[in-house]
Amino acid sequence: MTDLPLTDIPAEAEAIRPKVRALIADAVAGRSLASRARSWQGFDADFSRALGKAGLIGLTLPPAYGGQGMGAFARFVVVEELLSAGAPVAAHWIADRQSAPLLLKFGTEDQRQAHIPAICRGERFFCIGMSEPGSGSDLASVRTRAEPQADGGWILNGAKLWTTNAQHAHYMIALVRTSGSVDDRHRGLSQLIIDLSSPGVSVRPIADIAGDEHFCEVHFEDVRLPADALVGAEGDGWRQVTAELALERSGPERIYSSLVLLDAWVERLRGVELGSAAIQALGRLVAELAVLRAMSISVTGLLEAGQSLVVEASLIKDLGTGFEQTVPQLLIELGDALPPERRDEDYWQALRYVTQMSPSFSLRGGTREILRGIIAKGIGLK
Amino acid sequence: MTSDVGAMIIETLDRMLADACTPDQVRRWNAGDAPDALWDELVALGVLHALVPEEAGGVGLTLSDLGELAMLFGKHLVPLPLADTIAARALVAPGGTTVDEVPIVIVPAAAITQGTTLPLPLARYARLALVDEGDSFALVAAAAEESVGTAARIHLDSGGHRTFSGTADLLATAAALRAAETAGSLAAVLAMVVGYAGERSQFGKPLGSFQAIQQQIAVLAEESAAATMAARIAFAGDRIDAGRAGVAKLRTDAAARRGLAIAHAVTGAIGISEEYDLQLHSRRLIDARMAAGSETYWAERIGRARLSAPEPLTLDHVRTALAGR
Repeated sequence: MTDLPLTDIPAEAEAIRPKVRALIADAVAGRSLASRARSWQGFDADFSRALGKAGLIGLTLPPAYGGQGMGAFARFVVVEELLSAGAPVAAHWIADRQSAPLLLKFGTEDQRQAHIPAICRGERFFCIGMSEPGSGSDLASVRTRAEPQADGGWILNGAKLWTTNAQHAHYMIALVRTSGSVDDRHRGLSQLIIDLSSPGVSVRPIADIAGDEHFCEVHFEDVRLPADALVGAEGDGWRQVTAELALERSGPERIYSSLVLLDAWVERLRGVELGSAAIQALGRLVAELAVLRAMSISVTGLLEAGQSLVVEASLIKDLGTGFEQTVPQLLIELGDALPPERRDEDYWQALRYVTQMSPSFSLRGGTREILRGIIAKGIGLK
Repeated sequence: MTSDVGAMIIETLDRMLADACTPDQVRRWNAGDAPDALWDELVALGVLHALVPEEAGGVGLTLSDLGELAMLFGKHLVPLPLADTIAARALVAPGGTTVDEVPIVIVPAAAITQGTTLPLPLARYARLALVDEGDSFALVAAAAEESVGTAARIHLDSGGHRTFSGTADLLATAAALRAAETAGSLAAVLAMVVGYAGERSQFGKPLGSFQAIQQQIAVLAEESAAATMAARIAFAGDRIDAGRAGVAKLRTDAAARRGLAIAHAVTGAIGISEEYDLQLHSRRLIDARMAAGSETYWAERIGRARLSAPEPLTLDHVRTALAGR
């Protein structure tokens, strides 16, 4: 394992915090706690456009593509401000975090110009097509297939499942089979950009446990894709996807999903005669948050310095999502000792929502068991 | 961050301690053989003056270097209150005042200067104890009364005590040092368990190839990484404060609790035998958990601190009170 040094957020990154906070405060003013508790599941295209206009999307991307050319710590600051305020970031979230960096790294110049500036303006939304009806954690078994055509284009058939925000996204970047068969596993997989308005694409939202529709099934029936739908090299999809994962697994979004709820609870506890159980539970949560945040900042610094930290990112995600899941469970366990006049329906709705959705925290982006398998291999078990 | 001098000294000490603190030697120290030769070697290296500024004849290391040193002492099972001694000397003699070069243990209990302490980790071979007198410190003579391994109840004799001006939170200091030693020890436990799982075969294959075992050892690795970061937080500022030290002690204790359970589950019966080296770490880790404030004690203090902090956002409380700087 790589040693994680205690790292400070550099002053120039901290300097943008007040501006970000003010902008977010305006955007979330008047939103219910239950709405803010949706964290990065909350969809609001107008808010994403406003963030884009303020230069807060694509912070780390080059100015030539509409980005701000800032460091990873600036993005860390913006992300933790967005999440701890419960800002509705779902619209641009995936494009900002994964699709634009992926296109920058592996895409052609045309692909970058076609998408990254629009992503940075907060106008173009992406989703990621990974899971399928028969492929969940076993991602290498995907069956959705793009057949190469004589003109260099592709014809796509198959289905993606549990795709977050596909009903709102303009494009999907999907991991599909472009050569070989399912038995070839990681070989023969590629990443393709799919315009979701193409003929033959159908998107159906799926109701979730909380009554929202945050994920979808997406079917492809003889969808014609141009030659430049391919991202990177044919057959390199697995390698490219793996490179994305360290970015996706160690950020504040794996730690902060229950923070809005935690802060609401703290406000409710103020001025109330409390038993030790609640105070100690709060103390444990605060300590855990302090350590996880320090780990996430440390990995941010090392990733920016060019280190590959698959194991460290995996362990932060496992610990971080464990923390996220503990918050609502503890609040339910402790119950509400407040007098009737302090009861608050919005708080209860938020608590109910976060508790219902909390299983997803350790599913999305790689399950707990998959992460622990990665950690075990990384420390030398085989 | 570790200073450059700190990194160099840590590298030297890492090698020296690996040679000196062999498992057999650690067993002899645990059984009552005084580690005099090790102590003399450490004195000769100038380790005791690690935090004393260079212009006062010391090494000039930083507080964060002390955290790294304490992790190293935990990793190598140093049988002495060496981190305590370095910290105590920095508190009572920041300018290099003459203090006998003997092991000093920090007694975190409030205002005990005479009588017998509760059991303290690493106190067996201490000759002096640093105690808190409210608005000053005192160094008093210390002698082990009852010992179990390197932990001991010590008898304090204030007859020849010396008073020093200055104040510091000795409970927080002891908590931070125990946290760092625990983090270092847990990292060593992880390495030992990974090694064992690779060598020991059952059902015709190494233990480490079973998913059930892999998943558990992965959790041990997570706890070890979290413990290391938690310990570093305690040594982040210019001085040790109760907020950061409490976070460190609480989190490293929890890591030791969960991590040791896994280490012992994987190593089975031999893991609780005297002959297997895991017990050398297990016993130290348990000693540390029983000292300098329990998980519950610190959880209560951290919880109260959060509730009395005015910030609406827990993020802001963590940023200002419990982060790197």
